[in-house]
Amino acid sequence: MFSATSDTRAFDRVEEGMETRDRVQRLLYEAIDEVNLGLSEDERLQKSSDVVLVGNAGRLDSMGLINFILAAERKLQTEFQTDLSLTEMITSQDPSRYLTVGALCITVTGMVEARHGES
Amino acid sequence: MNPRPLRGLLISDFNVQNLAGYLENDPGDPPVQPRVAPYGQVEPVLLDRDHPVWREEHDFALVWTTPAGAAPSFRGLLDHVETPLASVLGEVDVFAARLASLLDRVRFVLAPIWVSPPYDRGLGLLDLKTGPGLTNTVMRMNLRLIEACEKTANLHLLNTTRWLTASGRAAFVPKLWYMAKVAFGNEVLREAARDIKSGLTALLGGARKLIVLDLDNTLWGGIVGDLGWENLQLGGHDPVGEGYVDFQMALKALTRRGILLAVASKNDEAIAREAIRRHPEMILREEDFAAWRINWGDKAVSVQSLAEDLNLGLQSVIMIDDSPVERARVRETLPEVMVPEWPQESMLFRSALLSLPYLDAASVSAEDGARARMYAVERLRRESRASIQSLDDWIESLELRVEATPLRPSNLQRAAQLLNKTNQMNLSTRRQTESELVAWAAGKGRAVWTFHVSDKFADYGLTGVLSIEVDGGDARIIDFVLSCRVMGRKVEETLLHAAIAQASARGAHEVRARFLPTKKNMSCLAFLRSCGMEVDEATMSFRWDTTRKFPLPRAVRFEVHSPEVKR
Repeated sequence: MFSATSDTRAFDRVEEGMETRDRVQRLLYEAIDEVNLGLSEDERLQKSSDVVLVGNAGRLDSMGLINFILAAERKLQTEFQTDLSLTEMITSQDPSRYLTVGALCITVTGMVEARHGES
Repeated sequence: MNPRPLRGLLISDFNVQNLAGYLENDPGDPPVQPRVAPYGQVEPVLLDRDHPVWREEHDFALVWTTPAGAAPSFRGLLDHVETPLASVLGEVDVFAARLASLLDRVRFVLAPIWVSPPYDRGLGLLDLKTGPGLTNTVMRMNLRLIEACEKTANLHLLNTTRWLTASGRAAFVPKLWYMAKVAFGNEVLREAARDIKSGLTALLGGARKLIVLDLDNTLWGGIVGDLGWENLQLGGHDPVGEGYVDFQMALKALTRRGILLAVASKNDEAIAREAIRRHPEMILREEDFAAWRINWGDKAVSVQSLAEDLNLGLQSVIMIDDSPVERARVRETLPEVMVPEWPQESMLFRSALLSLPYLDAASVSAEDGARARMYAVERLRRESRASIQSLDDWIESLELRVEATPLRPSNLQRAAQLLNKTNQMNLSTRRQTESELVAWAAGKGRAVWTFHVSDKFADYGLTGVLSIEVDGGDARIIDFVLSCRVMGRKVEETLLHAAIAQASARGAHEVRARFLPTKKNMSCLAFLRSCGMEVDEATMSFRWDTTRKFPLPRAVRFEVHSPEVKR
């Protein structure tokens, strides 16, 4: 059985984790908004965790994907004050496997939390 | 503004695919359909008229290169190898000539000037020295390019430096270069797309011409009806008051470029006008406003009525108001009016005004500078009209004088400007560059005249353009263009009189005018229907038999500066 103190800490960790994930999702959606500025209405990405970024069902061409990665990196860097490179992770992704916005959000949240944990 | 998208060819030595995306998908006017020339093939595309990219027609070309992309010798400087400045500048001259040579393939050529990235410190203290200094050389290259291009009509350089400054640290993104060969950050490209569209709008004659201003908390701080003019926050040793004064100074400067100002304010008119007249720190006075609506009515109605009063379409209007409610009301009711979001603090007003797009001008003429005064004079004229009953009597009292002059080098710029800017009294809305107009006028049976209008109150300058084409016994009026400044004073009838007299002198038995409708030229149709010409409504064609003279209005003194146009 947890003590009151350890209970509170566990609760805080859950809160913190949820908050980071929400923030990451918001930043990824903002990056989608930015990419959409250069796309026609029928090419625009939905802001949804199901949207496929990489893979055969991916909506973005290579230029669009680069724009998304760099916009997301810049926003994450500004928000979390730490360098997070998505370039290698996304561009080395096997195109036969899907990478969705939701999956990227989980991965990035882990990276952010690991960085904060390190510090 | 433009019925079909403008087709633009983007030519660059770096990847401009993102710029094409922003140009195509930005909702602002004009719609643009960009094509990107093959990456890195600047010279082949510029030099080879048979290059596949020229199989399609393009309205404009944008040529954007790195310094070394235009002047290969510049590469030596990047490697800190001694490079004669004369070689670099000689290559700039060649590049400028190639840009100009595009004008026989497109109507407009745009070229952003060169920049060196801020992360490259060059040689530090030597960066601005002549010889080794990279920035020094880039500045000289730009100056040489500006000098080489400034006399070529329809070739315009764009200020890349502004885009970089606006984009801050995001101006250069090295990863974007290595991953996709995009030389600038996407924020720079979005700024560029906005400026390109704003410039194209100006070239097509669609720039905004009228700024409608609120008074309380817009031109001054406070509510004049509550505080009295003596207690308004305006000027003085006060940052907020200084902000309002600076904003007014920037507005006044715009009037010298031909932008008109008007007031739409919910206020007591007498109280508000007293503030404008008597406050010692007001920069804008009554004579700076072309018109005003100071009342307690709906602001959208005021804005619409101001535009009508000044013979301007709503697409020519910008409204600046501190109230989000009034902004929303005008946006919703009059969607053609541009209503920018407006900062709350007066210290931000001047920068907000000067960063507005769609106030660009492709050129500034003497008429532009005098336009605001002309409208102030117009108010006096209307006051005089109030005391005279008949329109003819009123026009006669104006002592109206119209002078016709054939198209000449001295009036070409203004004639082309009028042709491209005029929307309302415009028969065919034919847009022509200066060189296109000259080439057209040189054709067989064709002639172009300009019309200068003045009266006892003011000189309106060159405000009319007429062109006809005579083929055997038939004459056609091609352009019938009159500035809204002089509409409704029998100048229309005078132009028609001149057209028919000239066609008759050239042996035409009949004169035809085919009306091409746009959203904005219904006043031209109304005039044609009322002028006495035979009308075929099915084809919107109008006809006059030249065995009858078209009468010159009694009140107009018409003078001809060439034997070409006969009375």
